[in-house]
Amino acid sequence: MSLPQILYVDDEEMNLLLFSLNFKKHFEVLTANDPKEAHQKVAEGLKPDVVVSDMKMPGQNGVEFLQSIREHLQEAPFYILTGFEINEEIQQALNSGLIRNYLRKPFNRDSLLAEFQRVLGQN
Amino acid sequence: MKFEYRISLIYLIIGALWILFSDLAVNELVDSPAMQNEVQTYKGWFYVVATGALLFVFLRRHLGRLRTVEQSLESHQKSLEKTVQEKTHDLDQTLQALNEKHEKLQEKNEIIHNQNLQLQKALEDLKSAQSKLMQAEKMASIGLLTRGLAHEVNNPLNYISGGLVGLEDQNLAEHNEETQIYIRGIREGLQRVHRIIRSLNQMSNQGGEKKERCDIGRILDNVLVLLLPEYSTEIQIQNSIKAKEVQVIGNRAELYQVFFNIIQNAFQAMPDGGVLKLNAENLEAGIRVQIQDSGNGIVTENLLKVTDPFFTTRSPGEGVGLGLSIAYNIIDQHNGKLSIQSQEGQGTTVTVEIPNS
Repeated sequence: MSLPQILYVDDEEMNLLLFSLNFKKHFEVLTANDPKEAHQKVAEGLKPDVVVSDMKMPGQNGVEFLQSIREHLQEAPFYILTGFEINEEIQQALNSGLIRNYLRKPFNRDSLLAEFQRVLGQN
Repeated sequence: MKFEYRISLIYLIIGALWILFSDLAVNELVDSPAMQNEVQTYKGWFYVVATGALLFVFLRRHLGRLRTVEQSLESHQKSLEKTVQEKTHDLDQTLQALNEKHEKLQEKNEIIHNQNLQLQKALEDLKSAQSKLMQAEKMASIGLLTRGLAHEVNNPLNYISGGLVGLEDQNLAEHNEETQIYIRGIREGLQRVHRIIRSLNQMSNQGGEKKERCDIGRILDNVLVLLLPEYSTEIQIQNSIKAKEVQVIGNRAELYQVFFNIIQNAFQAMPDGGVLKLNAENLEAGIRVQIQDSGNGIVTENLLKVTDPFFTTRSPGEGVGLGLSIAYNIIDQHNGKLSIQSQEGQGTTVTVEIPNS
C-alpha cells in the first residue's frame, strides 16, 4: 500500500529536510522550496493528499499561495505551518475554509501526525 | 457806585443847591414879602413834586433793570433745572445701559469661564489620548519587533525540534543513559525558549477590537478545562459563576489570556492543593471578577512588582514572569482595573473590573 502524499512548501531547506525525515514513516513527503516550484509540480500532475505551507516566502505568502493553488487541488486539506502568531490573513483563511488549520513552529510531530491521519481518515 | 449811595448823593446835592439858590432867586425876583411868602410855599411844593418825580424815574428805571435781571435769572434757573433734569435722565439711562452691559459681561464671563473649563477638560482628554496613542505606538513597535523575532527564532527552533524527533526515532536514548540526559536538556531548553517567544508574542499581540460579547462564565470554564490536567488533583474549585450570567463587551481572546494567566498563577501558588474560588458580579456599568486562591501568597514588597514584565519568583524554567504583566496590560486596554490583594501564606485574591464600554 502506497503512503499518502504530503506537499510541504517552505523557503528554508533545513525545514524541508527535517519535515521529510520526521514524517517519512507515515507519508511520502514532497517538498518545494518556494511557491513557484510547488506550482510547477502541481502543473506537472502532482496530486498531494495534504498541502502544508510556510507563511513567509518569497513571491507569494502561504495564504496567497494556497489560494492560487486551490483550483488545481480542490479536495486536499491545506495547512499553514509558521513561526508567526496567527494574524488576520490566516484567521480569514481559516474562516473561509481555505485552510483546515493553523500550525505553529516548532511543531509537535505527534500532534501533526494525529491531525493529518484524522483528516485523511475522514476523506 | 451802588444805587442807594448814588441816589442819596444826588438827593443831597440837589437839596443843598435848592436850599442855597432857591431863596436867593426868590428874593431877587419877588420884591414884596407877602408874595415871597406865597412863592415860598409853591417852591416847597415844587421841590417835593420834582424830587418825587425824579425819585420815581430813578427807582422805576432801576427796579425795571432788576426785574429784567430777575426774569433772566429765573429763566436761567429754569433752563438750568431743565438741563439738570435732562442730564440726570441721560445719566440714569447711561447707568441703566451700563448695568445691562455689566450683566451681559457677567454672563459672557460665565460663558468664558465654562468654556475655559471645557477647554481644560479637552486638554486633559487630549493629553490622556496622546499618552494612550504613544503607548499604543510603543506597543505596536514592540509587536512588530517581537513578531519578527518570533518568526526568526521559531524557525531554528523548528530545526532543533525536528532534529530531536529524528534522534528519538533512532532510539538512541534507550541505548545510552547519558544521551538520554542530553536529549532531555535539548527538549527542555527548546520548550522554554518557545514559551518565552509565545508569551512575548501574546504580550505584543494585544490591541485588537474590543467589541465582542464575552461570557465570563464560559471563558472561565474553558480556562479550567485547559489548566486542570496540568495541576494538582487536590485543588478544590468553588465556581459560583453560571454561563451567560455575567457578560461584558471586550476582546474575547484577550480576556481568555487574562483569566488563563491569573488562574495559572493561582494553581502554581497551590502546589500541594488548596481552594480556588471564582466569583463574578454585574456592576452598574460593567463587571467584577474575583479569583481567590488559598496558596502561598505574595510578600508585601513584591506586590507592586508582580505586574512588571519578567518579574517572577519562580525557579528558572517554571515561568517567564510575563503572565500578570500581560493580564494587566489587557485589562488596562479595556479601560478596566486589575488589583491584587495578598498576604504571605494567606493566599491571593485578584480582582478584575471591566467597564461596559
